[in-house]
Amino acid sequence: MSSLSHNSPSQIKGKPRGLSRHRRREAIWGMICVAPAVLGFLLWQLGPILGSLFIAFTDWGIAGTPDWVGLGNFKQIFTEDQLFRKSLGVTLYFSLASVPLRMLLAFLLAVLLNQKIRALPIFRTIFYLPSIVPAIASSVLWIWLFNPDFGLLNAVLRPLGFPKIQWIYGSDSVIPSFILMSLWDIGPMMIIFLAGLQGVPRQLYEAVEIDGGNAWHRLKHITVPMITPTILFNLILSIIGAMQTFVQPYVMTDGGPNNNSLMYVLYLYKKAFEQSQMGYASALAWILFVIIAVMSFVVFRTSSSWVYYEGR
Amino acid sequence: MLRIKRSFTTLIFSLLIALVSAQTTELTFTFWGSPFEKDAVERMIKSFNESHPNIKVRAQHIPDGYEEKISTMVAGGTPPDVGYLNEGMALQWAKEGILQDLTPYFKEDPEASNRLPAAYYNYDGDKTIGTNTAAETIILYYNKDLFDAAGVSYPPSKAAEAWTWDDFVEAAKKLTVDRNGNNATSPDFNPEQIETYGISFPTWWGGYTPLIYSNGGSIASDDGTEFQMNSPEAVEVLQNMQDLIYVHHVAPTPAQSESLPSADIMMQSRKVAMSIDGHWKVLDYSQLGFNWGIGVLPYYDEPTTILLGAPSVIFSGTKHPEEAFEFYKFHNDPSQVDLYAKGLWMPLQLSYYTDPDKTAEWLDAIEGVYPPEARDVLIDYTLNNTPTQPVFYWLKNAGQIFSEAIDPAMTALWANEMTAQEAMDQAAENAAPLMQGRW
Repeated sequence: MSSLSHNSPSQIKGKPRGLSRHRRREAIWGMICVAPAVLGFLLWQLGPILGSLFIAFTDWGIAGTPDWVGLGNFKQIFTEDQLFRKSLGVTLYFSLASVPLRMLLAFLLAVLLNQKIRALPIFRTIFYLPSIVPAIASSVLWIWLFNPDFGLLNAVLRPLGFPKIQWIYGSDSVIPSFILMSLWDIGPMMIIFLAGLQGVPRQLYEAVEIDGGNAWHRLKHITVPMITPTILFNLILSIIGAMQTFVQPYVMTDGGPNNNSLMYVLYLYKKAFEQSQMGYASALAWILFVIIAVMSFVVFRTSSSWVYYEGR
Repeated sequence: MLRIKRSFTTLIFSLLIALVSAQTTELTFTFWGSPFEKDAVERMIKSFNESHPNIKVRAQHIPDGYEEKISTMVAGGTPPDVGYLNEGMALQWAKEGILQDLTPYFKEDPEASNRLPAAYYNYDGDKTIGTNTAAETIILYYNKDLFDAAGVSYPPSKAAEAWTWDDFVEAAKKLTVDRNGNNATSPDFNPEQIETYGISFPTWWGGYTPLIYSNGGSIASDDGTEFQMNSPEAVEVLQNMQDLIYVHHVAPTPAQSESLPSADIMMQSRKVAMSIDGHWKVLDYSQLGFNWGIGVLPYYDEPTTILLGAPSVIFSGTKHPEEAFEFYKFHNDPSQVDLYAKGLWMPLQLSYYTDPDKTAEWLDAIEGVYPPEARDVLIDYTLNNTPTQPVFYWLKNAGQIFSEAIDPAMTALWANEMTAQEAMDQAAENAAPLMQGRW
């Protein structure tokens, strides 16, 4: 997008009136194109978001009227609520392990799929395929894979001498199991990396070759620096996604065993819809929002030292 | 002229229609259930609308997310008139004034109030919001062919002859067979290669509460202030159940159960000999075409089962409480809904348990649904051995106690990561600050 606007002045030089009309039309069309998203947000999301901010300061069981309790919910969350700490811990454990592993794997796959090999579209499709399976369906599938007695994973591992792993049925193995499972649907991230890789100018690689560099040098000195904006984008999205993991523990473990997979959003859901504590759940939601906002902010602030934007 | 006349008649006619429709009371009814249940309930509503020309019930079937949907309707100020409700929310909503107090209606109607006592949802001592939509009990199903093959006598159908826990474990061991044909009493038995399990039981509270009650224990004290699942009586029962899986190897682990078919299908394919399950499973068993029977649960001190279900309620937002109560009485009348005769529901009305003609209308209406021993297991056992309403229906804050104290401990128990004592001590510690008494 930015390259387009950079180019346009030189192209249409000498036609100031045409330019302004063209640019105005472009601006209007731009507005029209973003309008559905912006209007949708304003109409359907902003209201509930602000509403939940109000509800977070109340005691409200859906039925009846909300009672104002000030900071009561937050006080209880931070001072008394063991499960808040537990669920936040579980979620951070999952996110800190899952995000880097997912990104590494998605990047490596993207590099491989950026090679000139035969049947490339088929490989790209195969690696993307898991991502179009609905989360519920893939969760049910993984329940079977993880089954300690009849599951495919143990059926393969046990003959190789591994002990009987309890996977999602064991307190210690449940989060590692989810991390493993999260490596399965990295399709979208891989596609974004692939797009980034294809935007790297060929002449830079040629320059390395002329200087006598090998594949490793090309990766280290050209590929990685050139796609740091893509890495940043994927990093932010993965953090947000991982911190909000819900479907897998909801479908597969209901937070168990013994709350060891009680992810934050699942806990929030239980508060809201199993225990009808809407105020408390809204407070939990806003705390998560702040945590994610802070994490994104920190990543953005550090990005100036490691992200390279071409032409800046 | 003719045209004027015609338009005049049209006018009169439409006025008449308007008048008639003004006298018709409209009621909204919300319910959940499988497509099979939906058909039966819609037939009942059709029959009601035909027999009550002045009332028109509109049914809204909410198969998924019922709790969320109904909460939203209530919060939005447009609750239904009559509806099913999740048992855990009912009395809280009653206290908040969202549900109609039906005490006066039942008082004025001795016939309607003649229902199983444990099916009522009472609060504030003697006020009631009504009863379960239908009654359900927990019973023991078994495959007769497997019992014959193992030479074990069938589980008793009369409470007075119920098996002790030891009898039950002994039978389960003889019925558990590995791939080489050795049963669990044999020294050559291989628990890694079980072909047929002796018993399968549910890990949710329907499985363990009847046995805890039977042992003189409880989930909570009668006033709802003290958590009691860490009592010796309760711990003994839970430890025995865990031992069925990991010591005696006569029951599948929860992880195994999760990827095995449901107990009725397993029993049909001879993978399990006995199953503790709800009465509602009669519907499924009766359609599988194998030689099955039902019996009473094993017991400790007193033969006990539980009466469970989910309530039907009238919302206090209704403008037509009289008509709503009329429909309330109709919607779970076994002569109007065939789900009773088909084995999914048990009647609430005591007459079906005490009057032999009515009993026959229920149990014998469709041949091949209920086995002959149903008169012992479903009539006598229900009447005499369902002492109280399950704790979770009347305990304040039950949802939170359940999901934050009991559930985590139970998953650790069933996964063999804790003993019953350790698990219940943890549960008691987590439950203590959550106990708020009863509704």
